[in-house]
Amino acid sequence: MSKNLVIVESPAKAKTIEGYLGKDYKVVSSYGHVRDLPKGDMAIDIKMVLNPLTRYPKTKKKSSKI
Amino acid sequence: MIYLASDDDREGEAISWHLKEALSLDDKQTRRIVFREITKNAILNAIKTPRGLDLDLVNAQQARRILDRLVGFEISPILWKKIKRGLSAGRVQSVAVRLVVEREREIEKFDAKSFFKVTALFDLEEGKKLKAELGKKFDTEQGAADFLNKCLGATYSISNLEKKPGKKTAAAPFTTSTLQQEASRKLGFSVSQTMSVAQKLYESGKISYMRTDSVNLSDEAINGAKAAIEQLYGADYVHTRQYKNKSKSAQEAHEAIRPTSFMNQEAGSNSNEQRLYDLIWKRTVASQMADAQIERTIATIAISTTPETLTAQGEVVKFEGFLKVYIESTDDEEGNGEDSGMLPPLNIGQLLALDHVLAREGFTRSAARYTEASLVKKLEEMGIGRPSTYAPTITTIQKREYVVKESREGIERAFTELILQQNKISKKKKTEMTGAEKNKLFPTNTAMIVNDFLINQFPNIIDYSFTANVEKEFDEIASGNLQWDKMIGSFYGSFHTDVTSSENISKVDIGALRELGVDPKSGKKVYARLARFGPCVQLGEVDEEEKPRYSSLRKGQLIETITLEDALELFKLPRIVGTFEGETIDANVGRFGPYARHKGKFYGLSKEDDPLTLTEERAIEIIEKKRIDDAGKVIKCFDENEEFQILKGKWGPYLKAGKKNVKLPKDKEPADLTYEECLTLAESAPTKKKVVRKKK
Repeated sequence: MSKNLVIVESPAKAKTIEGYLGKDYKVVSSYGHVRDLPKGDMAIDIKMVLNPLTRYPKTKKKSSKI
Repeated sequence: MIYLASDDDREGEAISWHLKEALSLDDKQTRRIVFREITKNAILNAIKTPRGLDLDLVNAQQARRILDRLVGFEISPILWKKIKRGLSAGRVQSVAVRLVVEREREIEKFDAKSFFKVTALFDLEEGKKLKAELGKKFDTEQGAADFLNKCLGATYSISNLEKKPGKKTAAAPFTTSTLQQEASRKLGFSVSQTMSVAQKLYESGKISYMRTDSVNLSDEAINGAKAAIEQLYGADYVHTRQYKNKSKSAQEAHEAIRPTSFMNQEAGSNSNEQRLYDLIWKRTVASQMADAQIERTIATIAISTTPETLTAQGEVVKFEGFLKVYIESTDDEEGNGEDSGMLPPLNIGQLLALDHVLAREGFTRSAARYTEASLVKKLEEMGIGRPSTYAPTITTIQKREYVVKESREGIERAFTELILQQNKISKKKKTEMTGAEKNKLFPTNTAMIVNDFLINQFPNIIDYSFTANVEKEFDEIASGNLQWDKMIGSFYGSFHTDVTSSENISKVDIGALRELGVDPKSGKKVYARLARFGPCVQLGEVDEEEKPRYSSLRKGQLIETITLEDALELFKLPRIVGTFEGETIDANVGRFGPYARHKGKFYGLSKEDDPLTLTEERAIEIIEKKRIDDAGKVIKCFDENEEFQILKGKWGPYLKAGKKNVKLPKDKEPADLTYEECLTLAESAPTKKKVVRKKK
């Protein structure tokens, strides 16, 4: 097993970087943002303006289980 | 150890932070690494020098995201309620639309004034010509004629020769916005295309990071460029330097867009990547090259009959310098390269033989419509948006149908020429094409109405300096000088007051009628308005017993500016062309252009066929031709199920099974397939692939 994990946002970038690093490194991609403001409702509690980014968009669940 | 290695800017920092949070990564086990280019050295260096997550950058990204969401989510419903469902507003987007709307109105209001410009052509020895011009322009034809009259019978001689040294300096290396502009001018790329091609080059390690507003180059980069210049052009051509950043906030990124290795004169896996790389290579190399040395010669030509003089200008490049590699393009469409050549040898006192003097009528020009790239330039100059937002903004305003990118044909315009030749003055009327536009940004009718509403209701949100200031505050959050929740709190306070107060305003009468005049035939009034189905003209009043007639505006026509004449032309449609097989054929213009309709079927008209003049005979011809074409498309039908057909498509035969298009196996003749085989094919065919959402 590799000792180190490098996480980038794009598979093309991952491929290039993996080419530079040795066997001790595994490079994976998150495919862009893993979390965002939920779609559909306001998602922001303006009175709090605190940690609004707590829900995962549905399509990205997979990529966050690396 | 886990290394978070997303891009080195606010978006990238936020991605890393979210990854760390979402995966509950342990601080001790996690490092953030950043690099400006994906080369072996840069990556190894980055791993050697990791840092922690920069929460200020993350906060700046979050603040932008939240603020944009607040604006969009609070204003859009107001637009739905007060104007029309489905509309949207956005913080930067609406300001960009405003620029396009204001430019369009400026052009519409512009009153072109005519003037006369005088040029002269002299015959020199050995068939050489010398072109000269009069410094001043005449406002009237009479003024120009008077001047030519004075020149009758005159002799012309060189009264002065002046040589001036000059120099030209290379442009700074590329930032995101200058790359977008040059790729648009030189390669014809759209702004988003430039960014996606640049991203590919970056990710494959060929260029440094493509979202930047800095013109800095690292010392290694400057040395690399220097070595390449020495090798390719010689040491005389080297002039290394650092350019000054125009934008004060150029901290989001640290370097200009440049090649990762200057020894690679070519890179990229397809032609677009290669062309963009070539542009980046040349621009960067040229920026480290010597100035071009120019010698400008100005010859003054005396006219024996008047104290006024003509001048001829020429330019000689004494030392090419950076011009050997790269010349920056300009947005100015009228190239003025024609008189920049070398002047023939001349002496003071030399008499010149006149070929002709020409006074040509010209017209003042309004400001030009924006291209995608020139709108980016404007946004940057005004401090609205940042390298990461230019391309998405330009894409959004088009996707939301506030702005269309179009080419339009020009119109003919008459102009006058006065020529003095062989001691006689003659006058000619000529025509030229004017106003032709290529890939320019035009506002839609909706854009104008929404823009005016926003200016009235949310003057702040759509204010240029306010928007620029918000961007500055994001920068301050990123540098840790402003707390993001405070910034949003103070923004939201006044913003929400505006939102609340707008609840009380009455619905915008988007159907507001613009009276164009009276139809001479029916005596009824003609109006232009935005109806539910789009912009249209209306003949007659809504409350009259006879319902008014409506006709949609054609592409390019605006409610604000359409004339009575144009409107009357529109009412000629839809028009009954004739009858065929017992049913009428009518002609009209729809969303997809002009068409003929028969038995509920639509037949698109080509450019040669005008719906206003289409004959019955021609319409029948079009219908019959379409029928034959359609029949040729069907390879096989099935009695079992009429929703199943084997058709001939652009990319070869395929099976149409209801709404699904299915690929056919290559080893079988399409016409031999049985219904059962098709049924299996249709069932086993994959449903549409999900498109992976790209990072903005």
